[in-house]
Amino acid sequence: MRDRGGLDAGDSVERAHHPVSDALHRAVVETAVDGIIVINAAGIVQAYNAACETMFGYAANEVIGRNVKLLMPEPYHGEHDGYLRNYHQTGERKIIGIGREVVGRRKDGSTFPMELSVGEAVQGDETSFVGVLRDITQRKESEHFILESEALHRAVVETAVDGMIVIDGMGIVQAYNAACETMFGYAANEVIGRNVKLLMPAPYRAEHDSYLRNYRETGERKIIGIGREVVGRRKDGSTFPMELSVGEAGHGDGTSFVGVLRDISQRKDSDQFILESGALHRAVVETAVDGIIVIDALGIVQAYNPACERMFGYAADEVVGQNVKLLMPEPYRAEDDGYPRSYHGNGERKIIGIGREVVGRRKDGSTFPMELSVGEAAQGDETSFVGVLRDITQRKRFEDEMRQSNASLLAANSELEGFTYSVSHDLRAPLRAIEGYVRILREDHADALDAEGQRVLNVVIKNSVKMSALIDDLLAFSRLGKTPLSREAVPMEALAKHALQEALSPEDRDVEMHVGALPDAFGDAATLRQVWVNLIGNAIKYSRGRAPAVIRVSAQQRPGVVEYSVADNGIGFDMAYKDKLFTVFERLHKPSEFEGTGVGLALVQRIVARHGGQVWGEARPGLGATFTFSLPTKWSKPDARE
Amino acid sequence: MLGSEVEILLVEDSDEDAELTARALRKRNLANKLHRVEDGAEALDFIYARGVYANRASADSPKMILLDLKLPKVGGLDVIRDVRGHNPSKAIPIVVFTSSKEDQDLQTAYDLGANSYIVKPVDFDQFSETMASLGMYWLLMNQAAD
Repeated sequence: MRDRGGLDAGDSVERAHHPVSDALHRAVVETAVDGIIVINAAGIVQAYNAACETMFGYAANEVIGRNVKLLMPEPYHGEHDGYLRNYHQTGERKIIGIGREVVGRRKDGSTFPMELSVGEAVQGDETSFVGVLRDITQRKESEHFILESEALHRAVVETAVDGMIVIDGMGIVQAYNAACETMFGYAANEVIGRNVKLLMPAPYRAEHDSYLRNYRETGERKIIGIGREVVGRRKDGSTFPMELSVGEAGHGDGTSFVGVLRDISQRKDSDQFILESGALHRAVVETAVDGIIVIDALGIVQAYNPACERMFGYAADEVVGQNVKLLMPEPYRAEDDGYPRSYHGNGERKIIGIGREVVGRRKDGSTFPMELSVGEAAQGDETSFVGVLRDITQRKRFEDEMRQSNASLLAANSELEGFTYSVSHDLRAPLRAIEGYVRILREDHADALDAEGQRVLNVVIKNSVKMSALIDDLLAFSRLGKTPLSREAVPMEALAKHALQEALSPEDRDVEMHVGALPDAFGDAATLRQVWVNLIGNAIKYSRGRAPAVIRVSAQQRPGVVEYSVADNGIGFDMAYKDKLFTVFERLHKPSEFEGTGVGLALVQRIVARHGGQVWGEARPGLGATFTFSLPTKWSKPDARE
Repeated sequence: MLGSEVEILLVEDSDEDAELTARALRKRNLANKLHRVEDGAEALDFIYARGVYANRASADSPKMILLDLKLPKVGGLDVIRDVRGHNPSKAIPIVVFTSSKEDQDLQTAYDLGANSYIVKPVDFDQFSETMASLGMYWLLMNQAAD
């Protein structure tokens, strides 16, 4: 130090005394970077250097001779006199010799932080104080920045998406952020202070200590700084892939390691998918049932799969490199060049993305309908078009056939309607005439007929009544296909009881009836009533002559369905003919035994089928028959005729 | 024969049905004021007193029309439509004959303005019931008083 040198020089010029050292001192004081102020015991400024002038904005002559308080902001300003007084009286140094931070006040009233060191200089009786001042505004600012950046770091660490863990040289966790908590399922307080192995699954767990030891001993870095994939272990024992980067932070004597972790399970999945999908795509393309063609922007075929070979009759090597027009018949062939062009020109997509029917041309020149979907694939600057083709020859044929059979079905239906109409009008008219004139004969000309004439007349009447019943049944049967069914809760027990009353004629005296508890059904009450009437009517009819005839009506719940049964102890039927039971006009008994039109059970079956149920009969000849029909408890799948 | 006493016009192409209907009504002394025509065109001529019926006193509208729906030439539904479209004929009660109450044309007939229907064969009980529902007791009473 120069002033030290000066003083040393001063020692040697002790006798030369002041002048040299004064000059030297002044030079030192004046050129010092630090501000230097000398005050006397009263606080009056004796000396004030150039650095002070820069620092405070006051010129020396504005300050020298005035109390140093001028340079202090308020709280200190008032207290300074007290400090000095206190120092005089007690010798207690409040500031002397201690480098400390105080606040200075500039001429413009603004303040700034400064570091102050005070020395005492005794000259005879006089005590002076020398203050050395350093403006530390900049240092304070950078300190502030450091303070702030620590807060920032903490915030970053806590809010980071990546997990961050700090461990010491022994592997003990020092810090563990919120992202880690999410990732591992452990709270920070469960992990901090414990070995980081906690977060590793079995194989790595054992190795980690040796990694660290190895690193400590050899400085060889196994993981440090390398972003690599490792496996993490969650609190619940499950594992997940993560990417790990490790940094080293020298911190006093201890070395810390900072690990940054990222859960890459999802990325791994998609990596896997991408890896697989390359192979997968090839496999799909090669084995696809649909033809797949890739063309470039000019229409040149880039790829053409085996399905295309089958479809067009061209081998791949005959087509790849050729214009795709090769595969199109005349009108399209001429047009196609226009498509890519117009797409390029104005971005207008004519086919792209639209599954549409086009015509393909085989190698042999024949054509076939196909469905075409086109996708666009941009790869760098290149745009390719991927066409997926399906030969729809068969589908078209099926569609045509379907249309035809639909048309003929419709024709048949309307024919049936016409038939129904003419049955009700034309067939009834002559029957009505027969009945009417027989009635005239009987009412007005009974006297003219002998007993045989009366009998013949009765046969005519009986047959016309039967024909009338046939027509009625036939109409009811054909009507059933057209009338929509309602869907409502149907009280089956009430319907069955009512049907019993209805079916009993006065001559059925000896009938025992048992109607069990019948759950409600869900369907059309009017037609279900017809089911009961027909089944119960049959039961009574075919047990006529039994004494007593026993009719049992019951129901049984099964999964999803309720089965309703009507059992009798009548003549039954031969199970060999059970398939004929439900066919229109099929009868298992001769008319002389039991009257009937052969429509009743066919009607029952049709009604039950339209409700989504089934009907069947079981019997033993001479012992009776049981007819059962099932109805779904939820009417989810009504008959297709709906 | 075509005097002012015509009260029921029977439009029926079937001779048998016509005879049976007439007989059912005759049994109750109702048929003597019945006039039968065989198709829709003739029915309209009669109602409007035109064509072969031009001499008929047009003021004497039938009190009721019994109309078969299935008729040659002009069908029953067209007859209803025509009659309902003209004064004063639109006020004449029309009862349609049908083979079955399920007949699809029945609803159309109602929509066009038919008042009631009778399922053939016409028997007197159903006929009088229909008359009653139309408030035509007077027709029955008048005839019964003859």
